Amino acid sequence: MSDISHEVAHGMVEAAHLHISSVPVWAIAVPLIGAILAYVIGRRSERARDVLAVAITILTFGLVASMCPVMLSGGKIAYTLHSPFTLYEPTFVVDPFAFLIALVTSFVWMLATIYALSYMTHEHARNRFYLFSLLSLAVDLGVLLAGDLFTMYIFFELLAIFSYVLVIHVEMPEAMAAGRKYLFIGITGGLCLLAAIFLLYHYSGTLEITSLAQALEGIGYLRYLICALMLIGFGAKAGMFPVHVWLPDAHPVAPTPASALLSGVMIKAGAYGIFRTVNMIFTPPAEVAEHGATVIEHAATWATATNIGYVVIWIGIITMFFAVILALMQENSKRMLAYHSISQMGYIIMGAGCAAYLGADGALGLAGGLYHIINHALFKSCLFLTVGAVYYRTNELNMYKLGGLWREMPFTALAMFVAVMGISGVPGFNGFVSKSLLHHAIVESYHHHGDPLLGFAEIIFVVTAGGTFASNIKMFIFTFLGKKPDNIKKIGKVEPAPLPMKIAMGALVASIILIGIMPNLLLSIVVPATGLHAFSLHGIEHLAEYMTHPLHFFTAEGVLVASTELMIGGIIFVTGIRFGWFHWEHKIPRWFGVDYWYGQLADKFLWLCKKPFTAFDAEVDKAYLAAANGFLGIVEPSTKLDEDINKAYVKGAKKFLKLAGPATKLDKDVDRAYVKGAKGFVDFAKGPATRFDKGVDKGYVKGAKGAVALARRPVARARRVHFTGTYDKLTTFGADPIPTIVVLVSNWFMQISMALVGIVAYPYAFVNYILDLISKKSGEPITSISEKTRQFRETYKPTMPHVESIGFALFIVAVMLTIYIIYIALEYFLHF
Amino acid sequence: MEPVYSIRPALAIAISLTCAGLIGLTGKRHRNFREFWTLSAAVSKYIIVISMFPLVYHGGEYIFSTFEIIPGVGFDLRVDAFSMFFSFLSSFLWIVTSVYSIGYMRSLHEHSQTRYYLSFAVCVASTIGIAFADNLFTLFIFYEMLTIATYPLIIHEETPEAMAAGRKYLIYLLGASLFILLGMVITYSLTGTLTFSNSGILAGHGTPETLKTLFVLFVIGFGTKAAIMPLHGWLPSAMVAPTPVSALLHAVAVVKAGVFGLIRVIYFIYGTDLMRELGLGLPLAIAASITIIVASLFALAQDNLKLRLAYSTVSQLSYIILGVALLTPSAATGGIIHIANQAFMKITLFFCAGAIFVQTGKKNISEMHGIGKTMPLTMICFAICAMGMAGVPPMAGFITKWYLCLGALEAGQPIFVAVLLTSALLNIAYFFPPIYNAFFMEPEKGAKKDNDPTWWLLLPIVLCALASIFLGLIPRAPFTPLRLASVVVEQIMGGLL
Repeated sequence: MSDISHEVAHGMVEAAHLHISSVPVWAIAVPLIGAILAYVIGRRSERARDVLAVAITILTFGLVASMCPVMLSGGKIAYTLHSPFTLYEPTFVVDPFAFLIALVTSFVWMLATIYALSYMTHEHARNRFYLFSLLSLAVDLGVLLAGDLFTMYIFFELLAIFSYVLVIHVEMPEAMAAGRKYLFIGITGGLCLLAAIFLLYHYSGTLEITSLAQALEGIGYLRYLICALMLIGFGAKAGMFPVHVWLPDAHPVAPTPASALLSGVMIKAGAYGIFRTVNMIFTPPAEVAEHGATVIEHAATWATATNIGYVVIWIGIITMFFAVILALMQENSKRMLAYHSISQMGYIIMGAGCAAYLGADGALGLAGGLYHIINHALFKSCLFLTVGAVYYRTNELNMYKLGGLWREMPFTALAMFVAVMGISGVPGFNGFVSKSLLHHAIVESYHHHGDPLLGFAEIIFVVTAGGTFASNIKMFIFTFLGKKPDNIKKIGKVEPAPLPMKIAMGALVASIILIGIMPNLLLSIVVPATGLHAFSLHGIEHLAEYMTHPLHFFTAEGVLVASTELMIGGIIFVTGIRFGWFHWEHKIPRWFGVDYWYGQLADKFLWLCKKPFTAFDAEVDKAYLAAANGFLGIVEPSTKLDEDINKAYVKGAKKFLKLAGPATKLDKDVDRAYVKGAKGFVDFAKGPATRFDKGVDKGYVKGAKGAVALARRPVARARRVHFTGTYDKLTTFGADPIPTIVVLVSNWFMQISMALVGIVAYPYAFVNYILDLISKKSGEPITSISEKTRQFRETYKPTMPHVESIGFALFIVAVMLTIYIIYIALEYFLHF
Repeated sequence: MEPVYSIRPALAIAISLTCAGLIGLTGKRHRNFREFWTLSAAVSKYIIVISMFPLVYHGGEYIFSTFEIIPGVGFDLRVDAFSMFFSFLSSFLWIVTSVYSIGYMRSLHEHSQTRYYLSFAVCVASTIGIAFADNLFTLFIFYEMLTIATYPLIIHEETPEAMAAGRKYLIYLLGASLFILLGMVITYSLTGTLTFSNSGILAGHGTPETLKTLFVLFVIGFGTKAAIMPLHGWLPSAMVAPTPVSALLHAVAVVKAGVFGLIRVIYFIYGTDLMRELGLGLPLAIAASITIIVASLFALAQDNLKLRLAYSTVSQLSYIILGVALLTPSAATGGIIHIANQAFMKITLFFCAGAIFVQTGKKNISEMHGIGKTMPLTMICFAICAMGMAGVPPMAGFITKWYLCLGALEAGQPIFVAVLLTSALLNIAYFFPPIYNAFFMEPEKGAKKDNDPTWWLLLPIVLCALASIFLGLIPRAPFTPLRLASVVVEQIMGGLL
């Protein structure tokens, strides 16, 4: 062992020195502000926006890279945004582990943005794309550079929302469906994470991302729940089994630069979180680690880490294996790559698991996992970009409908070939290095406790690597080699990829090869990054040895494993093509996948919301209204009663009015009688009376005349005869009085008879009139009142009291009883 | 700090009543003048309220006392921190809503606008009265006044549906107020006073059974307005009212009056210690949790945007009740702060729903394809506040969630964390479709471009959306609701733990 490696290892174990610098904040702020700026400018000029977007990503990359010197020395950068006004003062802490992922993130983002310059020309809503791409960059870096769980959570949640817009960019139905799934799983994961953060905060009293294993010792199995919640939260973003279901849908539908970012970079935010959880929060702190696992009082703490590590290893193994099987059966290149993203995440998760399982000796697992994060970011984004370049020129994603393109797109073909070599772990390319480290880690885990299952895991590891090679080489062969199918021939001459695409792919190819040839280049930061957890000197020295002697990677054993993998891959490829195994996906029943059950669950849940729950609500509401209506129903009879009374009044009044008719007639008749009487009287007065009067008058006059004559005569007679006047008078009287009396008497008779008619005939007329009315109404002649009465008795039905009125009465009784009961209750409770 | 005797509390109430009179006198012949009254009263009321802010903020009180009605209970007003919290919020939002109302009512050429503005002014006066009430009796008077003054606003459309909703409203709310009355009488007979006190007045009176029964009476009474399930039925049907009414009254004033009353009862009649002693917090918290989850499920099933918002209100109101019922400082802070946070976010959402209706005549979410592209500003505000409702970090809703979850853990009830987070997920589930339809679907052919409403409508929307961002970004800035809420909590519980 060389002195240098010893020195480096020692440096790692020593406490890292802390630098205060605002660079991390700026690295987040620049794309954040730049995003809005680009959007505003983009509304005016697309070209200016494109330039600005690329400039922002370059600047961001530069800012992240500027932290390199501190990181190389194993230091940390910390910064706290002090503000009295916010709920919480966000802190940013950058250690080499976070730095390395942030570096590759900003690097790939820069290249993807350059690539997008030409790719996005045939997409709509470009302004929106750049806005959300840059926002996602900002929050992705936020996740990586955050110094406490709270800040991390905020950025993590925002990443899900911002990247959602990238997923659904094309706005096709399948994109929308994928986006919906993505968002819901992302948010659910975020909420699980939040729940875990709350619990961590509550039980440990800190939000710092540091080893909390000892603080959590006392809470029993709850610590496993917290860990599970965190794993689900981060795993949902990382594409971990079984919360991966969104990934194969969401990654292919996004525009290619976004796919590259999603698959290459953004899922790493989840992986980063898994490492932080498994290898930092739930692993004992440095001072315990130095004592090793042998110290009894720390045994429980170690046991937790080991248990978690064991489960995580298996999650990783399952993830990598099932995904590669599905990847083998894909036709759509982008979808296949998405499955490979899941599979490769399986390797990374397994690395985290090994590191925790091996405890103090787990440096290899951690280094391998981290190294694979970097490598996967490079080759997976490169693969997506090459597939996208082909799609850009041919508009075809189905690999079986492509072929023979290497003559026209040589650069792209070369780039894809290099990336395929990278992902397959061929020596000389970057994937080989990290896969070797991971293979060492799983083998070491097997030897650690001699668990035979882990030996089986190692076999799965190798077979998976073979499958990876088989499916990727299949994609390369079908896309670029062979003969052109008809649909491609129709296009005519296929143009090579445009320059910005070539720049992006070229940079990735260069880094893949560079890392492959000089693995120690990256190891110089990977080794400090293992300071995440205080590993034993032995492990780190082992790593540092690789760093100083890169050729140690290319030992006979490493190359042997790699060639085994390739051989298995070759066999799978040949037999698969021969027997048509690559088209089995459609034969697998849908219920076999987790996705199906999620879908069922969501459907059933929505059904539950729509049907029983809402129906229930409606029922409750109805019940209220029914109660209210019941009350009204009780009130109604009383209202009805009221109405009835009212009606009775009205009826009575009408009847009364009807009655008033005859009465009026009577009145009129009486009136008429009066008038008649009066007339008769007047007539009488005018006629006989006057006559009588006249007669009397005449009589008087005559009498007077007679008297005068009588007087005259006697005077004359007296002169002649004394009694002659009397005789005259007598003769005059006897001639006139008799007719006068007759008239008088007859007049009196008339008056009396008329009065008699009034008294007797009018009641008769009245009754007659009523009968008349009744007979008119019934339409039948009614002969007598007794008949009418008989009929009335026959037709009349006595009304029973309404049911409602009985209800009303009962209600009143109930109310009285209730009041009484309340009274008694109150009396009892309040002791009146 | 010595309380200050001042006429200002009475003035704040009187000003909107006077305004109501003036509106009535002006009528529809001078509609500009009529709306001038509304706006000027709103602004002057706000100024009066804000003039009391500094003293109250530092723990002082304003008192205005009049005659005694029954021995020991007068028609008294008092402004403490909690009163200030509620009155500050509702008087500020009255200004905003007035502006919006003018735009909305004029755009739709609504009938009976005089009646509308008049009732509105009375409603706000009652709300402030509820906030300033010094005792349960005064509170009850204003509470009843609010119920009745809202009725003309609900039946504004005068359609059979509206009349039915109005009837339902009265059945629910007037029925419930009988329980308050009964509770009040029992409280008075037990203690001989109804005046609110920071430490509660019921401690040491009556048997535990009595106090528990009494509490149930109060919860039913105030809970109906606060729409605790299953007493929530009136709220969704009251959505037939014009949107500004739904916005201010059914997101802020009326429903929050119920919550306010409940909080007054819990902390100022019972007091924290007595509540803990009697163990009344947990049952109420469970009832609130059920409401939170079940109302969210109902919201998922609605297609009418306003109905969905209404069920969301039902759910969100129970956040407040849950926070208060947990009886820990953080939870209480979370609950009280949510009165303001929910108000700002929900009022924006309702405003947006109204703006969509004014501009496109659409009420159902399934019809709102691509409106985000034709009405970008409106729908961006909608999206911001909808995310805020779900508690997505930089928005105001997250502050609530944070404090409530901490409070739940403080109370040793981690199950409520699960309730809150599940609800957050459901929130996303039911707020997502309108956003999704708005931004990522193509608008119908022939839809107008740049269809954002007039600034009368847009300004309130943007203002409230900005407020809900700022309340989430810098919640601890001086004079923000969070600061005031901590003053309240300090008064009733002696500070944050």
